[in-house]
Amino acid sequence: MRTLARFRGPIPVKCVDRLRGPCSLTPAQGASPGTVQVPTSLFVLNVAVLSNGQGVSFGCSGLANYGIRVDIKYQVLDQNGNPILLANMPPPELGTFFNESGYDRNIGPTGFTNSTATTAADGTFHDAPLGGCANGAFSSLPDTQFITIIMPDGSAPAVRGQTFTLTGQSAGHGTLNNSVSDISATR
Amino acid sequence: MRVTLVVILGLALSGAAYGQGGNDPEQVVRRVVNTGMIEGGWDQTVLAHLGDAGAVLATKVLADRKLTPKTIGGALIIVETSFAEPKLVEVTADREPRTSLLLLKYLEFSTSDAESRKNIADTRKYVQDRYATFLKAR
Repeated sequence: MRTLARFRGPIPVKCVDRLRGPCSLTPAQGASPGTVQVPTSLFVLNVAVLSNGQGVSFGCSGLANYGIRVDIKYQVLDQNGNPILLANMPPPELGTFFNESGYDRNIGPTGFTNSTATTAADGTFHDAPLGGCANGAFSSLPDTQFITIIMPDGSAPAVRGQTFTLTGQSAGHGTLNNSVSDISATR
Repeated sequence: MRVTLVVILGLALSGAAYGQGGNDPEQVVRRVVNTGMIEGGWDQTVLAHLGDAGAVLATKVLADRKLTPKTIGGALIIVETSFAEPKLVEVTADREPRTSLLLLKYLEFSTSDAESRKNIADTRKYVQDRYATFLKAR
């Protein structure tokens, strides 16, 4: 079983051009040219509730119409809160599902339209579909998730740990919230 | 007729070969049938690559279970998700729903619950439509 400690370590990503490179989208403190960017956290860019339907890019189907599935878009940030604009970084995850079984895998690809094996050129990736759908009502199920980012040099720092709470108390409805309080979705 | 179906499904099972460790396909199928819940990422990813093999595993899981509307519902989730995108199915032969349609027929014979029978009919149509769409796109 993999442990989180194994993935901790420095990540040498160079901020090449502050004007149009990884530092150009700096939302907080600016990183100087030459700064080594270390993936430190994930910023939630968007949470989209997936529409009902059958297929890999939909939410809950009529057969399992209790609960919710979402598409979460993350941006990888460095130690200063700046975006790291780098492609080809796999974001593996480990934890326990809503159904309490364990997992240790890559977040993508899942077959979902936006799901990919690695980050896009802008350092973003999607965790989708996230959530669960059931054929009966359920009150509150937890899912603990730890995400790391694998860098070109092979190091893989932990960037996010969170616990999701999923509910599906009536047909056609569900909620999903996380312990970081930056993800909240309802259908 | 029912005995014949069970024998055929049993023979189909003999061809299935899956690992037993971790979250292997059989464990995913068992979990979904038992809980009636499908997790968004992993369960769906595993099942969408199974195609007809999903029905084989569902049959194995259902073999010693009483067929209630709940367990039938779980089996239908397996069949539906396994044919969500036939082009993702790794084993070419499993892109065609043969055992799946047989399983659906068996489930239909096994229940008088009106909602279950409707869901079975809907799932059969969905699977046939997905396969037909896949064939047209080839």
